[in-house]
Amino acid sequence: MSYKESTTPPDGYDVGRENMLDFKIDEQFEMLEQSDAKNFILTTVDEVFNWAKLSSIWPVTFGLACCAIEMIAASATRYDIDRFGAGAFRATPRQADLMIVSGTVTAKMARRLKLIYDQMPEPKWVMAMGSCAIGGGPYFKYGYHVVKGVDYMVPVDIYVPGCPPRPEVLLEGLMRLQDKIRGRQGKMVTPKWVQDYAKKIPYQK
Amino acid sequence: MEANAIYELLAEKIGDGALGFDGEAIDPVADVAPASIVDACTFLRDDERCGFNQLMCLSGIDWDGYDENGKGKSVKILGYTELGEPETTDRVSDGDFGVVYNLFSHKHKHKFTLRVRVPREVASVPTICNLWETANWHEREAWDLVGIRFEGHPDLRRMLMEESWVGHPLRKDYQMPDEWENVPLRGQDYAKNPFPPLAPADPVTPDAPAGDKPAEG
Ligand code: SF4
Repeated sequence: MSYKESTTPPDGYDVGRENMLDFKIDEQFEMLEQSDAKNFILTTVDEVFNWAKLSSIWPVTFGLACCAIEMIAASATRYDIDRFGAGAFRATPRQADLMIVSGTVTAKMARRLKLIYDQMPEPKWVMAMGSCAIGGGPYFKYGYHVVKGVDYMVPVDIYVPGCPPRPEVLLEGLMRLQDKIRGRQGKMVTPKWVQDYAKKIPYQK
Repeated sequence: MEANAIYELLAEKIGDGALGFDGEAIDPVADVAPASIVDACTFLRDDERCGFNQLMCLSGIDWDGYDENGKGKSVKILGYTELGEPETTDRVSDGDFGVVYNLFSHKHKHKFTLRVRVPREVASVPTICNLWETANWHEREAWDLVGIRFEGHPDLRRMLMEESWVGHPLRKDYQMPDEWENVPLRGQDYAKNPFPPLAPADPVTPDAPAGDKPAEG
């Protein structure tokens, strides 16, 4: 599978798996709330941790170009990214889970971007927002200073196309990222291949 | 004051340095010899009748691709093809460089434009940044992007690109770099290679224990 198409399930991906993993945690909580007896819920550690993680994806405040305006709009009242628990834009990468690369990645910025990515604690995710971040966009042909896709610098989880993508599309991308987290099993660290990949790209001479 | 009156004053002051005047243009523009530009600017700033206390803009220009009458010829600007291949051409750029100064007077509310033209091999103009502070950064920008050297500038560093950048990107014969300090800048030829060079072909880590694999692929 091309990692450019990471929003479509790869071969061998069990689409039913999300349902399989669904322990109906919301219903269990509801039952818990309604009853006044001491109660317990039955779930797996994976399920609970994933649920917690996907419900509070904190993005790092990181707007690069015109797409950032749409990201800002998505976090304002009309679209309200906070409904998905992703409204707490952190001003430091050390408190963030998600880097929304919203805009044009210039050569100068690319090294800073890599630095910010490296400073984020595990688990971390990257969303490439807009055609600039995906593949250079309008600067593909004559943009002497533009990295032709942020995936040359850091591993990307979700691609959100558009120039710029509307806030709805950003929210859609966020929900797909939540699906991705929901489907994960085991240790919540960035897989080794992703870490190796990230190490290959230096940000300093 | 009308622009041609200003030009007459200027021509009187700098004599042979004034090379011509175009009063028909939207912004009337006077051509000035590079050696006289400091004199011309000093006069226009300090003279009571002119009083140009503001430099609105200073631009560097690569005039390659224009004939003598200012009509555009077709010039191939080098970039990448849609497949990510670098474009090349045998044509050698030979056009002059130019610097354009847009002046404005708050007192008299009039505008004036100066223009100097230097051969491509010389690419050097005297600085005017001791007349208007604005010129400092504008000249640095013109040096950075077009590669016009401003003699006497106190701090002629690059403005937008990093110091280690090679070449001056807005020159018409600029060749786009494939990378800069390990940052890849060239697009992909997806027809030849659908996977970018650094991307892993198999995203599932082979040495992870069973059950430790990312489900997302
Ligand atoms: S994709 Fe379009 S809107 Fe987004 S940063 Fe690039 S040019 Fe701007």
